[in-house]
Amino acid sequence: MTVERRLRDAMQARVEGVDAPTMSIRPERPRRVWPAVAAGFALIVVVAIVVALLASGHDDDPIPPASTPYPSRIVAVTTDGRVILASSKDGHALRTLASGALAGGGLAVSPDGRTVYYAEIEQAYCPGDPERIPVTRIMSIPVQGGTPEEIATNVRYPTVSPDGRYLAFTGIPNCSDAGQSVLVKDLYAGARSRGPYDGSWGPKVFAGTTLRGVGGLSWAPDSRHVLFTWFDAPGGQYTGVLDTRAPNTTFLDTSPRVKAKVDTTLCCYQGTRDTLVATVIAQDREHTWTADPRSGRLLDHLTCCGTVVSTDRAGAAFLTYWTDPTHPGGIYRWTLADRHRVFLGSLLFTAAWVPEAGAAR
Amino acid sequence: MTTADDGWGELAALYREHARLLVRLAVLLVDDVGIAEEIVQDAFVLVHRRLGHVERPVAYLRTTVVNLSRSRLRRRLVARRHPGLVERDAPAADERVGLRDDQRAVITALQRLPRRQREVLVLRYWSELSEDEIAATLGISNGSVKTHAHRGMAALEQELGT
Repeated sequence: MTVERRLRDAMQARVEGVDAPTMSIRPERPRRVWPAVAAGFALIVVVAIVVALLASGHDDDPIPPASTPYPSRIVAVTTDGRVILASSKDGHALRTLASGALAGGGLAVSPDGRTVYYAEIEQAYCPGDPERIPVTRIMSIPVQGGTPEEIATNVRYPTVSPDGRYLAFTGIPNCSDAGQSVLVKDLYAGARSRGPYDGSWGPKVFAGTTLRGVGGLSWAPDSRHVLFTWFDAPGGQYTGVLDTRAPNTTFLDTSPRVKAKVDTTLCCYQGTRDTLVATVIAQDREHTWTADPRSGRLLDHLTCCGTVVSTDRAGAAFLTYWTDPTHPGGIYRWTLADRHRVFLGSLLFTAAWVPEAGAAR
Repeated sequence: MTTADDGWGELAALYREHARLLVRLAVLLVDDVGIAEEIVQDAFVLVHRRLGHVERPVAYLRTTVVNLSRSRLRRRLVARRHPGLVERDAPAADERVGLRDDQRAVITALQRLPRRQREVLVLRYWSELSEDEIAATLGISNGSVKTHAHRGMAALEQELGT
């Protein structure tokens, strides 16, 4: 018998009878070594919070201004589709803002910290769409609560420019004439659209007819350039930079080495005011690559964070999604200052920092 | 129409259809059924975050399983160097009870191969992937796939004395 046949035979025998366990993939916290101590500590925390709330006399803004190197509040979409305002200290929910959101449809907060943008499920999928991709529309709602307002339909992954004027998002593939382009809406330009994309409510700045899998949108500090990812099967993911005023696109280093590094990518701009510094996260490899989007050259990399879902304005505090056998899956806080993960909640699917009022650029 | 499904229905369908094969793939990479099950569960958690964003979720799942298996093997190496850690560094003994001696020898030889060679052989001869698919899964060139496959088979022949 040839080695090849022996190998096939042995591998088949090794996995014979191995079956998948019952699906239970909603992550849970691992068992604690000192559950009684933990429970006691939790009780103390709860009592302290209740006392603080009573002392404050109202619940409009139960978290005091931050004395920490990161914003005191986050918004998050939970696994059951609620948009919540939560404390960034320990992840406890302060209020529910909306429901019916697509957990993986994106989330953004305006730079003044007043408005949340999220993707609400509009219909299960487009008629005739073989990929059955959920159709979403982007809604806005005040951080303090209120009535959700529709911004645009057949789109998702909202991202607000640092100056608060523009909202970038992507179209739903196979569902609208916008395809999966990167789209930009001028939030200052009068009435908001209530129909499918028709070009009337903002420039369709990038027609990604040859691109697929567009996502990971992130604005540069100049409120002009948008970083995004796309992929060309079977090669992997690329990272591109769109100039919304030209419009043209620069692609970051697409050498095989770099492409391999970013093949499962989210990305976000990090950083400084004058230089365009992109942070590219290779999710499964736990690396953050910093690149100059003008030249496409990689500058540095940092091993830290799992999947980064939000960075604060200074680029020093991250919200990340992390799961491995020793950590409960969910959202964590990670800062450059202390460089360790702080667990915020396993039911939080994605999250975004809420900038402190008055801290806008 | 609004639904609160959030992709869990689609994920459940993917799980029903592919989880068993992915667990088996992970078993061949890490040689431990329990760890393989954990890896696949984690992979599905990760892919859930990409539903609607990933064009080929099955390929994405397979790549994630390979990458997570690699991480677990790396952790196992660390555990071997630091015996106080709890990471199990060998599969449960009874997992190979059903194998004949010659099959056990092949699996042992497979596990001794360098990581990349083992991945290529498992993806080629068990998952039956094409060279292009293996290259895309591992993020390497087609030439590297050929090289690792050739070296892996040569090492197995030498180890097994055929």
